[in-house]
Amino acid sequence: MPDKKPEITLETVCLIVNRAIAPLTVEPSQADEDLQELGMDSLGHVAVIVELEKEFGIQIPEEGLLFSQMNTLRKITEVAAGAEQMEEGA
Amino acid sequence: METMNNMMSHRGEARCVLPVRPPEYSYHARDGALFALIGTKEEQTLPWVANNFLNLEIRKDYTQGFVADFVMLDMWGNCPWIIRHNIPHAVVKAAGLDCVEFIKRVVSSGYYCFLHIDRYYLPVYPLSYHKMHFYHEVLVYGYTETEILFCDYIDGRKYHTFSGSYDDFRAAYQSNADGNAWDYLSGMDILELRDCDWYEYDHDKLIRELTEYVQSRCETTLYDLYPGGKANKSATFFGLEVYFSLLDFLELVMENEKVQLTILPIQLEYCHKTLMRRRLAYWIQQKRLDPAERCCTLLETAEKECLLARNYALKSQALGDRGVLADAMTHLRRAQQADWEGSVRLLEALKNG
Repeated sequence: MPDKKPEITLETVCLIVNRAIAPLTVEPSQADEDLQELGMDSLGHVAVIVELEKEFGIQIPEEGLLFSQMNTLRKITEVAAGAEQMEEGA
Repeated sequence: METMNNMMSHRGEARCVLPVRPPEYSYHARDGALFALIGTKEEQTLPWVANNFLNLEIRKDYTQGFVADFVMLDMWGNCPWIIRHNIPHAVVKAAGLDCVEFIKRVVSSGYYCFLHIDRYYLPVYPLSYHKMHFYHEVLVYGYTETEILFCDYIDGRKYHTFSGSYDDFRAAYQSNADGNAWDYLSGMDILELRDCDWYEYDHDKLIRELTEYVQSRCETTLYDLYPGGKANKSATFFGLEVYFSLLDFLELVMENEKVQLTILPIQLEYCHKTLMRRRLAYWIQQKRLDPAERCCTLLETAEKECLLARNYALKSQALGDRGVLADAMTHLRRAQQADWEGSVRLLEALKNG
């Protein structure tokens, strides 16, 4: 039986973001804070996308590669959830 | 101007922090340092930024990686807001001062220090830097009771502020001052940031250099002065032609596993576009350019496409999947098209503006 994919929530996304941008850390309570201002750079941004795709088995749409589209935890969660819906609808 | 004697007689204070700003461009450490300084005088220096960093060059050498940069003759000498004084390591040593004390006196006198250090000794750098000696230039902008404050970049070439204890910084400085690594500065660059009210934006220079960018040529290189200059000259490409070099390179990386992917030249192309956005804002502000001109939209598109190309390349690197580079190439081609049309239109608009 295949492993159950984790649910896409602010909390699970936060765990993945922290794994990708270590040693930087963010908390779910910082959902709307600009990650660039918290110290995330372009490499961290791409690392987050790669981790999200691996963890949730989704394909982040191209717009996600623009930092402005995924510069907060909330936006990342929304983009990932949207990508999952696309996968399910396909 | 304050003399070095005056500087040395300054009483050190417990804490001194000089202004720096996150630079808009930090492809090389010296560029990061320059922009971190002149960014603190943004209003004054904007015409200079608009007038420089216009042409790009790239030297094709697939086996050694790319050498890519802005075409720039003498950055420090060409920037009237900065005066550079160089002090060889031997002079610091002969002064009989501990290097940390020396740097503190320089900073408390209002000067910045740009120097090579060995990252190996500074815990603020990631773990990988503590496995080998790695020499790099940093910009010291301050100190506290216990630490030296400096700017540097790690991955992604984005300048950040760091700090290191006096002991760690001393070891990092000394490792290089003892001659363990090649140091193109041969000591410390003491940078003086000053006001300048005489600089005038040179529109003719801009037209000349933008024309060279569009025509993929450059009349102002110094290759003839260096060994192997002629060979370098024939392998160097300028302006819009840099895109074709990058595309050739990415194609080769996709075909040949032995060729290592390097992101930096794509990052440089992206930086060129972000600076162009600043210039467009300046020309619009100066009423030399109508914001409704199509060139503005096209150059904005070129910037976005360069960003996507770079991020696909980063993704390819992170996944270890060279197939992803096909997407990077698609966006680079789109960027080239938008940049070409946008720059030609911009040139016409500015000639008439």
